[in-house]
Amino acid sequence: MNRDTLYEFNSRTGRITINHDECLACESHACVKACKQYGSGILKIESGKPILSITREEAEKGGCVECLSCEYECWFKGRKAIVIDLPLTINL
Amino acid sequence: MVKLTEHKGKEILRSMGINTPTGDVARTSLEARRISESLAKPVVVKAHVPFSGRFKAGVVKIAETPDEAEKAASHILSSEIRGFSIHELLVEEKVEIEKEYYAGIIINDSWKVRSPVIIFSVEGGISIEETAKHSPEKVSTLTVDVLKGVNKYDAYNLAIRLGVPSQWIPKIGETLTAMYYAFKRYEARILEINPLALTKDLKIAALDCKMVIDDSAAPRHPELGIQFPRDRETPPTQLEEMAWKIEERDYRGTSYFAQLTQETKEGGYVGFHGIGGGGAMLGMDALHRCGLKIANYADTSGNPTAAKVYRVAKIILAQPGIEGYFLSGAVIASQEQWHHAHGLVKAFRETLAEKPGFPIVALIAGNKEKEAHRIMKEGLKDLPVKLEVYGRDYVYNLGHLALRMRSLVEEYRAMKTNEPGHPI
Repeated sequence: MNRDTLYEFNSRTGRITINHDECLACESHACVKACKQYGSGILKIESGKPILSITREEAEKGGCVECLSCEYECWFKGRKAIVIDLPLTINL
Repeated sequence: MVKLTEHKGKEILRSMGINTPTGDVARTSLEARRISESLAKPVVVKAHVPFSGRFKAGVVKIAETPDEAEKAASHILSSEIRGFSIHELLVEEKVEIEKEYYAGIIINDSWKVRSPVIIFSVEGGISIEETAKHSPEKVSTLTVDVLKGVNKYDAYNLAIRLGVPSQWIPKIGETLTAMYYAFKRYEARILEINPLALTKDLKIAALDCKMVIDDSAAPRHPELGIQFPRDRETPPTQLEEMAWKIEERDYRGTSYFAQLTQETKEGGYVGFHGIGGGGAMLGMDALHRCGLKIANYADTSGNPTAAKVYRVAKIILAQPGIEGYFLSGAVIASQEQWHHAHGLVKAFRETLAEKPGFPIVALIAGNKEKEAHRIMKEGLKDLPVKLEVYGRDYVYNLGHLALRMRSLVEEYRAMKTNEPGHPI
């Protein structure tokens, strides 16, 4: 995995990592659709890759509602490019 | 609700001007001896545990000398009460009692009352419920108008009604009003002094103290040092502490987790996850009726995030020895169930890939039910678990789900027994 192409941001209690190398070959963009349907619609596609449509600070303050749907949809309709890390011990 | 220790409760009473026996907490028999020596009088050595019935259980002893105090402490520290070890003692001066009264304040949350109620009885030292049942003429009560509070004459009248000798009425009245002040200040649900003693040296003293704080109020009272604001009589387990930290640090929705047993070797235990307490009780009853046991009880309600559901599910699954996962989600309208589905799928995928045949029986009813079922089925289709998902038609037919759970647990156990290398 090329770390330079990892797109990462924090949610309120976790961390979302998107491997943009995989996203370039993805046609479904299911993560963005899922975010609109189940979450708060904070992802958009730019140059073929999903990125935040809000600032990282806004996402961390709760803009990302941690619906987990982007990771789910990417497993089944995308290219397994998204990993959400939710440690059991929350450090705020 | 959080029950304070007797020592902490008495500290609060003292700060309100209520007399209590002098004493301190000991963790070893030697510490108990030193406290006894410093008091230089006969002492009472008590197991410092949040259980009633300590005297009957033999974990309250009277010691006339430091030697006896050390011996009593050693005996109590090696005893158990309700299956729990005793790690702390309360060593206090022995008080010579002339008369025992009862004084208590509770919240009566009946829709007809919805107020604190002060209860006073001339029969102390025994259960107030027993006195109220057999000698109701010995109990007087006062429903408090929370806007007006308690005046001293209200408290005096409680004692006057029961024929308390007039010279004691002011002291009892002051004690009851001070108790109400403590009750209100610390947002208690229960404050009970039993017995409230009239001593031979003519003082009024609180010989015991049960103080229960509303768990929602705990964060407003850091001075109480409450680490685990949950209604538990035993110290929290590691999993319970983890679950509480999740709830404490994430206000979105609510989660609750209680580990009901740590011993699951005999089998037949399932992890239990409810969404909404009423439906959850139906599910628990159904499981019990068909012979299954519940290793832990969890609840995720109030529209929690999928992340919160995920964490609670991981904690449920972290309990060793469980042979199935039962979800009783009968909530109809207050949340979108797809969030539960997303959280559960992530937890199951991370935890159950190496547990072929592990049974999951899930009732998911409510808003976005069909979508939630699709997510569960699609998300777990490549996992080697046995998944059955039910919807709103089964909210009042949890008996069927419990029977399915039992069949799947039996199949899972048989499968594990037939695994190569399994000790038969």
